[in-house]
Amino acid sequence: MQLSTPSFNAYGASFPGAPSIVIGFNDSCAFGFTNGGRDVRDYYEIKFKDDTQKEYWYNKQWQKTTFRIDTIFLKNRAPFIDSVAYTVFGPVMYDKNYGGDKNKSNKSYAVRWKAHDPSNELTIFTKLNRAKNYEDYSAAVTDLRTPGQNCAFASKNGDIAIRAQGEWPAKWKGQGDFLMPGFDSSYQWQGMIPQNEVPFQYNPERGFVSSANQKPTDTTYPYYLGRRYTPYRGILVNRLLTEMNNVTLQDMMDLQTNNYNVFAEMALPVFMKNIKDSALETTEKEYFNMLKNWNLQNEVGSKGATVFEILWNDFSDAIFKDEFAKAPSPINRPVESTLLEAVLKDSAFKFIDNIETTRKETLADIVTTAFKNTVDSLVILNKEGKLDWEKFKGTRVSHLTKLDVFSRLNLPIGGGTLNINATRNDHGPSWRMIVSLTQQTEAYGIYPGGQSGNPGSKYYDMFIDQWVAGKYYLLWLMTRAEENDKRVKWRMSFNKS
Amino acid sequence: MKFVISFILTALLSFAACFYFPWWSIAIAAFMVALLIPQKPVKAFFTAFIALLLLWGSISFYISNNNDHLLAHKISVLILKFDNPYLLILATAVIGALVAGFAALSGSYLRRIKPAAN
Repeated sequence: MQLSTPSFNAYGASFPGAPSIVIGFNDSCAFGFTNGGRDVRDYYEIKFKDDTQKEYWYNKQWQKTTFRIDTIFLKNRAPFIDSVAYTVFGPVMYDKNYGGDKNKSNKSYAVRWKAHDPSNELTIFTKLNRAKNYEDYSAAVTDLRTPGQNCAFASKNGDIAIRAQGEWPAKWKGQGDFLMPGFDSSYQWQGMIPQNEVPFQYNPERGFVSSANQKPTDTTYPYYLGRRYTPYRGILVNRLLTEMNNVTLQDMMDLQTNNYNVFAEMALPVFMKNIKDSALETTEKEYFNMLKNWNLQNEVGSKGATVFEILWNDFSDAIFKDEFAKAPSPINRPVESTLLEAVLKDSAFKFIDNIETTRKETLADIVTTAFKNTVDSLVILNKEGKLDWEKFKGTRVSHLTKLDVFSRLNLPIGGGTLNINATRNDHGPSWRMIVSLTQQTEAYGIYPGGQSGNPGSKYYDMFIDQWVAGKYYLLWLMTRAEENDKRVKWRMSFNKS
Repeated sequence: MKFVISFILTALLSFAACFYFPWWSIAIAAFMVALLIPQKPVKAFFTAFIALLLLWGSISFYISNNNDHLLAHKISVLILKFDNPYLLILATAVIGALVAGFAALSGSYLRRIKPAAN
């Protein structure tokens, strides 16, 4: 979408209903966002005096709650009155009424959520659309309180910057990882991280800024982030950008559609070292060689990528399933980086042993067993003709109704969760944009959709094949002089009535 | 002659009615024509049947053909579990034909009992 007024001219992607360009560029600069994961929502156990929820125990005395009354009107029936008690922490989100008969707990929990604090995020974009320089960008993005974003910026005068922006609660290590007692102020949020201590980079020495949802700080940062971050896409982005010189538009297109699996680069040696190939049968050897000869690209036609993906999942199962089956649920397993780092560091990692058996398994035992399980799945996949990575992954762009006939199924595209081309089964990098901030701005973009929402229109899905192929369209940042260009098909005039 | 007039009138009225009223206004159109122009019930049925078969068949073919049956391909898979836009167009035409045919049949029978009631 393009927005052009006498005071600014901006182009990019937007959300339906948003009055601004959200990710895009104007005549002076370009701006983009990635989600900045951070824990901004915590739960506190509340002790009420009685069922009326009018008073709760806080700082050694009974405090009064306030009630917010919601009236829900029902057709042909008396309105339903819903009341929510508010504490010093926030609204009581769970009490014994929550979940009906399924709830066997008598406890009540209040939620403290950053999104309940007043803020005005829309101003970020109205200001960014008009931004001319770094100062304008800083003034715009610091309006962002929540949800936190990594805000990347580049301007024609050569300035680049990124801020892991948000108004973040200043937490001690582990604060809010679990339910906290809400009986006094000791577990309450103590304050917010000052805006001048929010992580940012302005014209860094390395000559680029990047974000692929990775951790925004190193261990010297004094505040607790409280989130898990996936490092692999960020590692590869930074590695490739460091190596690149005299970067062309084509180089950036290749970067955005890169299918190299840096996670497999680190994890595959563990498998190669520990699979006991002398214990393998002929079919197993075949798949072992597929894995061994894999070029680490999650690309179309790659069988090694499928073998690796399934093997990693079977390996993770073999390591954790036995212990986690005995743990109270729900409980999350560690992320892949945690498991990989553990086995790289310590071949006696304590989860390796299968606690269901009397013998003490080694890493080699577990990896070999996992691989044999993997081969069982692979043989079935092979029969179904789904061994190629893109067939196994089955990327789809779904219609809102999820009806297959209105969706595009089994798109022949590489990539995956941990690739820069983060195209999964039903998720992916939809808006790809590259902006060259030369004298005359040159920008390219693509998204997996079309210009019409009507499944009966040829414009409905016309960009999908281009997107799958990693191709881009030149974006036409229209100028006032081009008002009568023959590419202008229709006009709409608005009048004050 | 009655057949030709009934046929043209049913088609024309149905075509015009659907500009302003819901799809089932074709039933009223066929009913009224059969009431107005006396024909044997079976003949009345087939007059309206053929009229709507051709009318809806050609209109839906015209609309669908305008974008290479793009939507008809998809809907035929959705409804008929079978990719054939022409079958979908035929189904559309037969539904219209049956509705109009039975409406005309009713009209024709009503005309027959009318004198008796008097």
